[in-house]
Amino acid sequence: MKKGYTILVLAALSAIACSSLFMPVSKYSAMENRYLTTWPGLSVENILSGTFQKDLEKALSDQFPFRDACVKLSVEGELAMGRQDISGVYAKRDGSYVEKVVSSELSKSRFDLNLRFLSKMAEDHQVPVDLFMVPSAPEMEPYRLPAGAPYYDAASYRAAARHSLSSGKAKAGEVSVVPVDFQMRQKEHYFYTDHHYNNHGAYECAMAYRSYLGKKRRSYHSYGQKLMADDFRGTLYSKAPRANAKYDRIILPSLLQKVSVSYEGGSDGHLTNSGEKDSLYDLRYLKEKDKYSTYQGGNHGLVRVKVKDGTGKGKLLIIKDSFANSVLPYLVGDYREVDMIDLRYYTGSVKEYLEKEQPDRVLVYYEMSNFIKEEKASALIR
Amino acid sequence: MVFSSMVFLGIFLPMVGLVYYLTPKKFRNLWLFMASLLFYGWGEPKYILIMLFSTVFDYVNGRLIGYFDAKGLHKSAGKAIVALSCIGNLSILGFFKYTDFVIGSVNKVCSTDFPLLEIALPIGISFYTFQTMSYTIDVYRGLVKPQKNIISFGMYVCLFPQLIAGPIVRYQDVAREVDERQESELLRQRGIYRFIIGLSKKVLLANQAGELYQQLQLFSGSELTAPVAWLSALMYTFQIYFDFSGYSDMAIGLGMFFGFHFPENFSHPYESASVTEFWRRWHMTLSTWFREYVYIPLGGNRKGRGRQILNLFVVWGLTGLWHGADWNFLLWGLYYFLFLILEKLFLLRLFEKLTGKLGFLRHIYTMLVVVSGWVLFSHTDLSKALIWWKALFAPSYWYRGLVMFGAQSRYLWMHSLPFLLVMTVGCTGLMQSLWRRLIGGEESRASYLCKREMGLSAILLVLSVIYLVSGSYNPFLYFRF
Repeated sequence: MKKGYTILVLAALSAIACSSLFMPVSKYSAMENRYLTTWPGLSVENILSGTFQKDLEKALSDQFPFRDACVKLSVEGELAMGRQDISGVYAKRDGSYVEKVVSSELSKSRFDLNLRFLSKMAEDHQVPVDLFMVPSAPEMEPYRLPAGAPYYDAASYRAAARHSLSSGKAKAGEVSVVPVDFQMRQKEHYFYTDHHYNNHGAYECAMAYRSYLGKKRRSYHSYGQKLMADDFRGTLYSKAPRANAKYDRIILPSLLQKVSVSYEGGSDGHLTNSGEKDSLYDLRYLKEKDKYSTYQGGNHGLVRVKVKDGTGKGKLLIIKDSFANSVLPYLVGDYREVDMIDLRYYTGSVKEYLEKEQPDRVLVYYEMSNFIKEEKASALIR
Repeated sequence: MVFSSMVFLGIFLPMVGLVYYLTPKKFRNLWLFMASLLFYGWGEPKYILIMLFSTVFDYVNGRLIGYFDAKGLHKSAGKAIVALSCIGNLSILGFFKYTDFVIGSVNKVCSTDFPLLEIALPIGISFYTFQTMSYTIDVYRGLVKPQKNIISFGMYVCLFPQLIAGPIVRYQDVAREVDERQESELLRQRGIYRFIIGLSKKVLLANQAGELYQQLQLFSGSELTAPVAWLSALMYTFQIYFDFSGYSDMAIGLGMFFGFHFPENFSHPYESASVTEFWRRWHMTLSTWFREYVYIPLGGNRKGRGRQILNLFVVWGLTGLWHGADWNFLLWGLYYFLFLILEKLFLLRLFEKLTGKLGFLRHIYTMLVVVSGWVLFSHTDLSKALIWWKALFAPSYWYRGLVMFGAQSRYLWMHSLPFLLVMTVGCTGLMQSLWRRLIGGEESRASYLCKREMGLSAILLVLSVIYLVSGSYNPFLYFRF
């Protein structure tokens, strides 16, 4: 033993590095929601350009057999050191998470610019535009954020939007902010382990929008809520995974109008999509890690929903981020047609769409900080 | 390649080590030379050529000086060769490191618009040019014999353990070991142990501190308060120490693995009781280099006080610039010049009165100078350095931090406190003396590792690998734009 130390250490190190060579190659990490680096091809060209060296280094980590365990251990290590913000999330002792959004990520000028794009769109097409900024998690539930933890000042952005846009239900050519009264709630409105709001949050936001439009509030249970999964651990968990993280429940409203749904343009769901459907849900994702994608199978450039029964009238266009995916089921009943455009994946021209389709209203639906950050808003007027 | 990577730890090191010890002694230098070239060329193959040029250039210079010396032509001819060597090395360094700085400065002062060259700095160039220069100067001074074997000389210049971030090993430090060195299991064990200590300093402490520092640097406007600025400055202070001294530990340890004894580079600098002492304990091989090859040749302290001050001014200006080609580095060097002069003139004498219980005031003074020095060092944008300095000391920033953003200050500090404590203990000699007490008796370089040392190194190695692997963990959340 006395003399074997050096050999033992070096052998252990090479065993660690090479262990991944004998494992089947994994291409996709559900935890990280990304494709992993696989073993690079050896060629003179690759070596001279340095890509072989870089990819080998990445592959050694990406293909490491105990990778997920290592990540969990390092998260525990950082928590033991007293840290609470790990890889961009606040991980609380009780196993819940909050996304960390700090002021330096956001810019007031970007926000003002985005508001101006909305006004221009409303004016150009003489259409009423409603801006719905879903409250960030700590806005709805301040206790979810560790005391004193840095977080952007959502209230000041909200006030600025109210100041520069009109109030009350938007008329043609106007943009209004949909008021959200989010402090009177009792249940949890955000997932414990995902950056999205949960079914309660989506329901409350849908009701806020309906009352803004002058419609009556419907009871939560009138939508036929069904528990679909109770072992969901979302994106925030993936950022800082730990063994004692909470589990979230996926509850879906089931008493909905009959619809036919079609998808156009790019998408981010990793299961392949099969064109036309008669449901707002893709239930295959309930068995996947990424359960929020149950809503329409993730984000798509353009989702077109035709409502086949019910009393709904008119046509609504939603320009949105992923928060709209779970509010959609609560909104479809009020319309004949609902289209959703996701600027990240939509390749067509919004201007042409508006000219051709002539929607009765446009709802711009984003989580607050996502809207402030939205870099593609200029696409609204092109 | 860097030490703290899976390619190095899992493939390069075991392979190079294994082949090294399977190779007959006379080919070991050749193997180390080749391995070093592979190590250096891993990221940027083309820059090997510059290093090889440096190698051949100073090999020839050394041989020429030796030749002239043997012929009795020492004085003038040798001097010319040394001058040529210095000009050559400094030109390479100057071209790759300082050209854009000069062009940029000229553009600013004269409002001209000369385009920058935008050359990527070849890694380690500041280190190996200083090493090869020290070689020719030492040969000229007769301190070492010229190396006749170009493989051995190339191995010395390119030796991968200290190639990228020091310590600056002068040829005279290892001249004997280049030609004949005694590898042993004892040295190998101690070397690997030292390497693991260094690796864990880098991966477990420096990287985490660096990440926190980056986050704190994002605070601006009214959120930037004195508590934020202090935390940020402390994180940088620890990051640079553990990063740099960890790297030196790894280099020294790897050197031992191959039978070399490299000079020490850090000796708990943050324990110092004066700035003068700090610079005797921080990056010691650089200070030695400047003393031996700049300060003393300029006359040192032998030509009167006025001349000594001028010499120190030159040395500290150059030391500053050596750290980076920008004004803040120059100013940082001169900042230390100022404190060193003040200490020489009267502060040190004053300090002698601060003994006993008041001794801690000297430590506080030293750390204040050092920490606020790092603020200048870490901001190449001088206006930013000024803001962060102001945030450290101005009452308005304290008021904001304690009154308006009290909860935030408390949050940030409370959640960093355990980590800060660990690092504070880790950067002093306290950790070592505690550890010595635990393993019972002296930790001796002359004995094999005891079981506790083996256990400690195993734990640190496993933790380091865990942090290394998870460092690449990067959940891609598609919802982000």
